[in-house]
Amino acid sequence: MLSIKHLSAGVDGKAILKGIDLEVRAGEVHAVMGPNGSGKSTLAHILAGRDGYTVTDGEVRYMGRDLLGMEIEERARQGVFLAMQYPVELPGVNNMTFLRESMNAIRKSRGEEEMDAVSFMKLVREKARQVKLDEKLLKRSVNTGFSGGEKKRNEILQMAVLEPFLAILDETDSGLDIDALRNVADGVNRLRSPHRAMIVVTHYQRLLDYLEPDHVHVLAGGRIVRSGGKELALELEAKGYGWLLEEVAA
Amino acid sequence: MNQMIRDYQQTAMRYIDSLHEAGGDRLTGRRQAAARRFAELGFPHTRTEAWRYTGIEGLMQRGFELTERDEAFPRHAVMRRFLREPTAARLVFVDGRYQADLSDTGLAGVRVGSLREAVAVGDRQVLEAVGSLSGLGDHGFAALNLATLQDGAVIRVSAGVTVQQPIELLHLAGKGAAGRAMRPRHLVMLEADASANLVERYLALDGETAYFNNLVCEITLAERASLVHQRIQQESAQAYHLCDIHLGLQGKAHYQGINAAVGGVWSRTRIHCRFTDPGAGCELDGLYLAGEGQLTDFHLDVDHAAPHCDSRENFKGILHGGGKAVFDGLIQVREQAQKSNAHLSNANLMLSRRAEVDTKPQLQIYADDVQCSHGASVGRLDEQAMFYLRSRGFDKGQARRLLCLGFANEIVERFQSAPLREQLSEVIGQRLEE
Amino acid sequence: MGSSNTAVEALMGKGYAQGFVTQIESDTLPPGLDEAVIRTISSRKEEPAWMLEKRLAAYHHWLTLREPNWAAVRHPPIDFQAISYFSSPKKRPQLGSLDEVAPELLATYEKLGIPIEEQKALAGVAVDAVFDSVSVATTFRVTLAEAGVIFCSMSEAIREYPELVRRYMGSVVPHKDNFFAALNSAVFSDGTFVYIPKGVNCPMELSTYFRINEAKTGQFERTLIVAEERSRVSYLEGCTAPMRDENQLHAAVVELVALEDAQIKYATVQNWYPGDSEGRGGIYNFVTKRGECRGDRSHISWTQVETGSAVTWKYPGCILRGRDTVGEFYSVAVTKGRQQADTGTKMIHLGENSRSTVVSKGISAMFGSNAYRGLVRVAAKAENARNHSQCDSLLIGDRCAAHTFPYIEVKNPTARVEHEATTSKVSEDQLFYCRQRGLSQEDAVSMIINGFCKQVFNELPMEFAVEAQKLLAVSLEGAVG
Repeated sequence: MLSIKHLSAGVDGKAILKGIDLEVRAGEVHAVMGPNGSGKSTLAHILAGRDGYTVTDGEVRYMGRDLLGMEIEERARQGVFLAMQYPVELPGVNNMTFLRESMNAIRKSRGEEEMDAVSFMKLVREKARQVKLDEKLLKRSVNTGFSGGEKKRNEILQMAVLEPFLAILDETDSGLDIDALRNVADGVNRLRSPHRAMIVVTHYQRLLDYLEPDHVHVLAGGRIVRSGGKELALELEAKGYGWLLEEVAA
Repeated sequence: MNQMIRDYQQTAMRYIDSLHEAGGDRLTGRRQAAARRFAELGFPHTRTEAWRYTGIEGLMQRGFELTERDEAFPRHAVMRRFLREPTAARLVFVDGRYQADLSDTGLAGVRVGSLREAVAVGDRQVLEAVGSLSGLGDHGFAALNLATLQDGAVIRVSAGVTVQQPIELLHLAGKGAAGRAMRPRHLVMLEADASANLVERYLALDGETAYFNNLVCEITLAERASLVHQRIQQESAQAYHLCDIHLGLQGKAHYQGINAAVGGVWSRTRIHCRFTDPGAGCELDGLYLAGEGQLTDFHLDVDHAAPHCDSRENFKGILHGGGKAVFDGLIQVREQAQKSNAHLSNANLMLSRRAEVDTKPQLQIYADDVQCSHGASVGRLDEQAMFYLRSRGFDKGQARRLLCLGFANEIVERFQSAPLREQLSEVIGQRLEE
Repeated sequence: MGSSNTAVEALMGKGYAQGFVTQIESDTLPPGLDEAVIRTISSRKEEPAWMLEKRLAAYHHWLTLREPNWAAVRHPPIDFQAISYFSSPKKRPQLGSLDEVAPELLATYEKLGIPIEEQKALAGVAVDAVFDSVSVATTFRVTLAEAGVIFCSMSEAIREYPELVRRYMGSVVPHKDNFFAALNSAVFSDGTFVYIPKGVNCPMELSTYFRINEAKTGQFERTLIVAEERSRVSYLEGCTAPMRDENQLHAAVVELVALEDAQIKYATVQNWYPGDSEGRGGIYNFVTKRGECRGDRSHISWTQVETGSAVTWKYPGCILRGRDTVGEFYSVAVTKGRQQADTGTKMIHLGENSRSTVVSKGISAMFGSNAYRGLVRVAAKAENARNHSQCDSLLIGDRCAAHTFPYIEVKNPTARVEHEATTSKVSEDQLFYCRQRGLSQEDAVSMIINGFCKQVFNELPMEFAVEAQKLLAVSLEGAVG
């Protein structure tokens, strides 16, 4: 589904990613781990099309198409979803309206009919219950005044409603208490499907306890320095990143 | 032109002629141009937007002489008012006249002295600096200052020099100031990477003398220079105090001004800061206290004419008795000044029903990628807090004093000099017990 | 983001959708203003002598005034002698039904999407359509009459209810108030009069559509709304104008009087011709709007959505004279192209416990310039007065301007006055977020801007809120942060 080859990119002439290779197939869950500043979030942002990064080398193909040549919304409409580390506040924009407009924009681009208001409400309420998002928050402005946990739950709700093919979770676990973490993980697990791939970017192992990844990659200094199964994450948890970096350096 | 303006202009011209005849004044041309500007501008009036709330009737009725007198004063009384901490240099002016024997021209890398002397010896840098930021004056009083300026401080810090201890600039008014206008002008120049700390105070030797202090201060900070400027205005109860401060900040220079205005029957301070190079910063804090019969006015004018500059202003006022406060804070962000950050806040505490506050924060924004905000508030002491303190045994007066000190503390704490902080808190405490 | 500006501006530079001229015969005075013109206006309108005297007093005072220049707007000098001060669609006998209205007029309304038939059908909305200066059609008067509500043209009110007009006209905005108020008081052509008797809750929302049509004809509307004790009324004013090459002056005066426990809500959607991309043509909108909460516990609320006009100069205000009175001002002002707006409010607190709220949202795009100018004054006797003002500016593009000039004057220590203002642009984070969820750039901007204005739209009646949102979307089509 997603094929990243030799991807190198940076900001303001400073190289951040230095030749990333990654193959993600439908149904797989990949964890991308690494110390702070390793380029994890940059990778997530580049896949979603965030401005400000310059790709200097390599290519990314998504379902056979050149992902990097697509506009931000085009990627979203083709099923790429980024759950953000810091979800943005949109004062005055009703959460429910936002989600409906988003869903309809995606459906319309695929030539599907817009969902009627009643079915949509039903769907959102149902999904909100699943991610344990207080229904009152649906009536409020998007993320405005939400707590950290509420913002993250809201991201997972959007993901559940929009049903992307490729979901990228950027540090979704950061700043969550254990209950919120469990809700978020449940929400993500519910979305696992043979048609859907996920890339879970995280600093810590703890989210992976609930969310067994098929593959774990360690990103350091802009490169994937080690790939393995879920046992790699456990090893990192036990020993930290230091040993691995030393080993790579040696 | 009305008769009064003509009279003042003629007096100014005579003063300029007398200086010229005495020889050694190399500012004659500029003085004459300023006198002409004064005649054009006249005195400000409340129909002018910048003077809308600040009438000058009291001052004009009293009138003031553009002369000076060498009146004896008690030296020990002056020395008692020296800053109570070690200083790097000290400049003392009494009744507008420089007192060399009470001053201390300080350390290497710091050159301080009298403006009159610098002009007399033809100090090129000083001659160029006079009026370089202020121009001839944008209101009558400023023009009159340049036309008839007497003396002032020149403070220069050489490139790369850091002056740790404060440089003290002390102004005292005694009997020699009675009925007169003093016209000082200070020049502060920090070369690249220099940093200094200036303590500037206006005090009275005698609490009731009536005089007019009409001063202008021009401050230039070269690249990456940094100045902390602690200012206290505590003139006599009958004094008029008018001060224009002009700041010229080059790239990455930083100015921090902390102001307190507690004295005078009428005082107005204007701080004009223009950013012409990227990366500069300006922080202005201020506290004003106005009681019976007092008017205190602060005008801040921060002009972002270059990108990536930051300004922050926080002014607080306490009004009691029949005190009146005027605050005007303009932030301008010009087209080219992208990535500007500018924030202003003005809070006023009204303790009396005869007090009055007129506050006018203003934003003028011509660039889009900026973060700007301003806030202004007028209110009284929090009743719940008053109740709480009284339930803990404080009487009304004590409770009021404590809460006011708490309100003022945010600004008082900005003063780096501990003796100044203590003196200021004491003044506030005393004033609120009245 | 700079690179996308040109494309944006091309999109935003869309022609003015409401720009067309109705062909209709007019009875127009030649340009110029002197005493004779005022006498002619008064006699054509068959006014009583006292009205003429009022007009002449205002005219003589106007002659002593100079045009104000303090607002943050620039425009070429206005030649007041080049303006024609009276124009009315050709006089016809009394109209019994809409069938008698000139067909061109009805067609105009249809093009604007507000045909009177539809308006009539719209539940509970009465329309007093003002075409140029003279009212030509008034509907629903019967229903209103049953409730005792007077809703008629000002000309008619002067003839039919002279005692009410004499008592209240000029009592809130005296002719000496300012230059344009003096001019209006001298030459006002027509306008609307509303009177709600004691205890009456006006059975429907009242609405007037204004049009400026005749070339070079200044429009000098005069509106007076009086709400007696315990009455309530909601008034909607919506404006569009056809495209003309020359600047047209509009100097209206609106006066509201709320007596004890009365409530007046006054909403405006203003979309007059803003001029072309170079700023040629377009309406000069110099309006004096003021309400007085004369009785205790009365309440006046101004809501405005201003997207049109070349130059706007208006400060709907409230004089809070009674105790426990409430004044509100909610405003969205959009300036793009070469539009300039200097608008805001005046809240004058005279009564005890008077409260006021100000919410102003300014949006500037392209070369637009938007200024908020507000005054909050708390008089010495206004115990426990409260004001909260929030003024936010949104900038789109790097050649526009936003200004905030609040004046706060407090003479009472029990007052609590708070003013906050912010200036920002549509953030890149917000745009990225919306686009990542599949919204186009345009939809994202429109959504964010509507969110920015939400607090004001919430104050509008439902159908007006929808119209306002649409208007905003059209005005800012293609805008990029």
